[in-house]
Amino acid sequence: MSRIIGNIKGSDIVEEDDGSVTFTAGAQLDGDGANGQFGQPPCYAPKSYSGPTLDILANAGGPGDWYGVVTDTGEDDGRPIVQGANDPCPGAYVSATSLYLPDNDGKPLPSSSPFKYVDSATVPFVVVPPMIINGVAGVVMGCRAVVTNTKNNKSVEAVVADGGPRNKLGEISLACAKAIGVPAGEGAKHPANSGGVDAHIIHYQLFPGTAAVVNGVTYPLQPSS
Amino acid sequence: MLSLLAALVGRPLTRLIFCLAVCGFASLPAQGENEVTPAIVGVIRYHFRERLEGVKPGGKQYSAPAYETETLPASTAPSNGQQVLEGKVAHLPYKFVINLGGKGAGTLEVKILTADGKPLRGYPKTVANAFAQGAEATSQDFEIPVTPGLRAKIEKGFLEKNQHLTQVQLIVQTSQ
Repeated sequence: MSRIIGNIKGSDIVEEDDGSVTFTAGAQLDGDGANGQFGQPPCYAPKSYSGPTLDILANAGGPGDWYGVVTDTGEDDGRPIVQGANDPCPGAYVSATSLYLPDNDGKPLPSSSPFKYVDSATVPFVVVPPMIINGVAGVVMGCRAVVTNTKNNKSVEAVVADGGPRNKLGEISLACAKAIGVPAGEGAKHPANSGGVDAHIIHYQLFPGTAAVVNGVTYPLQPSS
Repeated sequence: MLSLLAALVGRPLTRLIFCLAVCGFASLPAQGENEVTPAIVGVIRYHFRERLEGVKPGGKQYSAPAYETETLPASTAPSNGQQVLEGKVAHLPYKFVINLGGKGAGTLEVKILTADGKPLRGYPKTVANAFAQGAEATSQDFEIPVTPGLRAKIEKGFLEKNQHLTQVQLIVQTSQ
């Protein structure tokens, strides 16, 4: 029998009989994890960087309070890691997702590696609040998700790859937004800082415990504790 | 009343003036006819990140970026070819005056005024062909500067525990 895990701002989060988790909400945009891994722009870069970036740097914080980029100490007051000459976007910062990817041999990558994170620009992914991550038995981070725009019935296979605030529901990567026809900041200087949809027209179905396979890539399931 | 009107129109000079007036009104487009300026909506986005609790050592400490919103009042059409939106929101000490079409067809002008009526730093701003048909942009966004004091006030009065304001932004969209 299905049960309601909780409710965030009017949206019920339901654990269905088959163990999947469903909810309907809007879709804010998350550019995190985009480091140019597949030729697209990075999420964040210093002001001296000449190329385009997906998000405005203010959304990563600033000196002493870096909330959205990887730092050398792993703390807010560390210095942001800058991509080197052999990285995808030399001069850009490294932006992280909650889901970490291993190297080709399955070994952990260092935090400073742009390839450790899931690329918002090219991988359809979903952001979920702690209520879901901690509220079901199966592993959520890295699990399969199906995201559907009920306005146009466009649907996409996605992976749960990032954690959101506890009181927000409905957030997706730029690639996910494009795939289902949600405004993805087209024409904007910083696409991740624009676009999205506030109306509750996006249906999310997550499959905790089932590793996502997106565009032929199998993602690791990452337990929260 | 009708007899008075008939008597006035009966005089040649008055008849001429009356006919010119009637013809003049008839040649004007009716209100809403040929309306090309769509209604506009203005939304304030308060972007933030939340420090997540219970994250494993070495894990991502902050949430993905997210935002709360406040909506400005609906726009009105004071004269043909213009849409004007004026108003305030609860958590900013500013007045917004947004005009589409007043400075030329399709031109968007955004004024943000402080409590003493002075323009906020960097404003007014204008964007030509803001929502032109076929244009890629479906909305226009404007960064709103925030002082440390105002930031603290918004974090305390609007956001929740452990949520850090990163940016305040005005989004203007057409309602169509």
